Amino acid sequence: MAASIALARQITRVNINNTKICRLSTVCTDGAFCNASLKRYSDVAPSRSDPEPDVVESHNETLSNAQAHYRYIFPEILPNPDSTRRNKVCEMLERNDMMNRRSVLEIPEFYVGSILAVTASDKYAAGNTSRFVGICIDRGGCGLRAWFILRNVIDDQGIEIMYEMYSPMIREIQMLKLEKRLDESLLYLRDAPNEYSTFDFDMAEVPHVAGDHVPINPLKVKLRSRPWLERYERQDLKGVEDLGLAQKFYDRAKQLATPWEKYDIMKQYRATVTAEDQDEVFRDIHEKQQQIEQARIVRRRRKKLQSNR
Amino acid sequence: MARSVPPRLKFQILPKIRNLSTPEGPLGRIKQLQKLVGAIIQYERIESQWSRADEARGYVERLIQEAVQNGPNHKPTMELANYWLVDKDLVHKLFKVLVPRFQNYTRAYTSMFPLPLKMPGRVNYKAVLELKGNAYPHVVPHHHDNHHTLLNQLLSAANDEYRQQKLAEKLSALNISMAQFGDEDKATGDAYSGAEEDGKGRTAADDNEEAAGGSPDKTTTAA
Repeated sequence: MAASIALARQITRVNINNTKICRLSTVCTDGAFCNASLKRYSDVAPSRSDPEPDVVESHNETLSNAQAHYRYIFPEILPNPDSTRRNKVCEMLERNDMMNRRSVLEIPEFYVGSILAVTASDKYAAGNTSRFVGICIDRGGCGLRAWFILRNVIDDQGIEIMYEMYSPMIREIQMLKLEKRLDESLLYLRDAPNEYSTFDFDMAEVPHVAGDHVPINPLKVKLRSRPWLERYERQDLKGVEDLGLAQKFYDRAKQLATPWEKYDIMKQYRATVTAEDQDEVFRDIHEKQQQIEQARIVRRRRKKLQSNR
Repeated sequence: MARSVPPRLKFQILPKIRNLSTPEGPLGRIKQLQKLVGAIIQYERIESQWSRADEARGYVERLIQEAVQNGPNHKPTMELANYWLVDKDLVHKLFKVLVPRFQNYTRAYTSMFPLPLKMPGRVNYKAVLELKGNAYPHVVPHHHDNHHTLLNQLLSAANDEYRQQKLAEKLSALNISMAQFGDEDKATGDAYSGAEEDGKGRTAADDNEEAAGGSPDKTTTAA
């Protein structure tokens, strides 16, 4: 715990609503400062709060079921859907870097709402590492710039750390509880009572059988009264209880709502990586991913054998 | 039942949407597009401003794509068709007429052609947007090259023979034999159209050119 506070001290600190938000800044492999864009994953057709389908609708006969699952397991492998930002060569190089990093660091499948423990290098902490446990409240970014935010409450102080997933400072990512929540972003936990985002650092790992459905936690959060960091009444949140606002707030939210966007097929198309492009990416990484999975199984067995002795 | 990842559109789209000018904002834009999409599905060929036609084209293509991919029993697709096609007869047309038509298409379902500007006047780029496989004549008439078909070859041979005959008759009237007139030009129409002196002049010039290594013009006319 003390180590995480030390980590929080060494990096940028912003105090919003009694929450310390920290950012683990690193230098990207290309030497540029990794300024993770605040852009979240686009609505790559299946919303991440949707239950995973039994049989993934395969648009292509040749694309195996395993490959079709990759877009749930690591959505950041897909390129930026904005066509003006695409660069095929850059994407390929980044993919190679990502798979190389994944062959060394085991990055588990996780979703917004999952509880993770991240061990990162920290020269100010004892043993040069610091471990932080928290709930993933948001994730985003494409390629090497992928990021996620963990949140916890320590000594009545909300702490959030944004980790860059492929940062060389990350030593280990441990999945403590694999689950989803009702919303794609849980930033509203910042305005919820502390008990909703308090997690024990010594929390035991909740086992999850690989290949099983990822459970959805139907928990509804009761937010504190206003003022808030965001206007949650305008966000169509499913994971919050009745907000208890005056009618004028809901009227204004209704005025500003954009219900037609559900049918704006070209807007959705522009925010999506097309099926052909996704196939190309998944086929490209498939072989490497198989190798990584094999190596992981071997490593786990070895670890188990050693612990049995 | 979520919609699956869309396949790539088979024509170039702009990276961003166009804000069509309307006092109602984004909803007004969608309403205008609803009209255009309905009109294209109904009439199969429409004329509109270039920007609007191009904007509507994407929506029509995506709608047909979804309909072809998922069919009428897929609830989200039906909802989509119901939203974009205000006239409900067109929903039937989409699933019963257009889906079978475009089932095996590997290219775009629509085509768009620019229309000429009316000058003098305001610069207003217009376009024709149509569904492929419609019953109308082609927008751009395309000429088939039938030159090498058997019938045309026979006809052209007959034509040549007739001209040769005519030429021979004319020359015999002037007491000049075909041998004197020259072998090269006897089969061509050019020689026939020219007078006697012209024909002789041309023959001499052609002889000179042949001596220099053949004339490209002549080879093309012969071909």
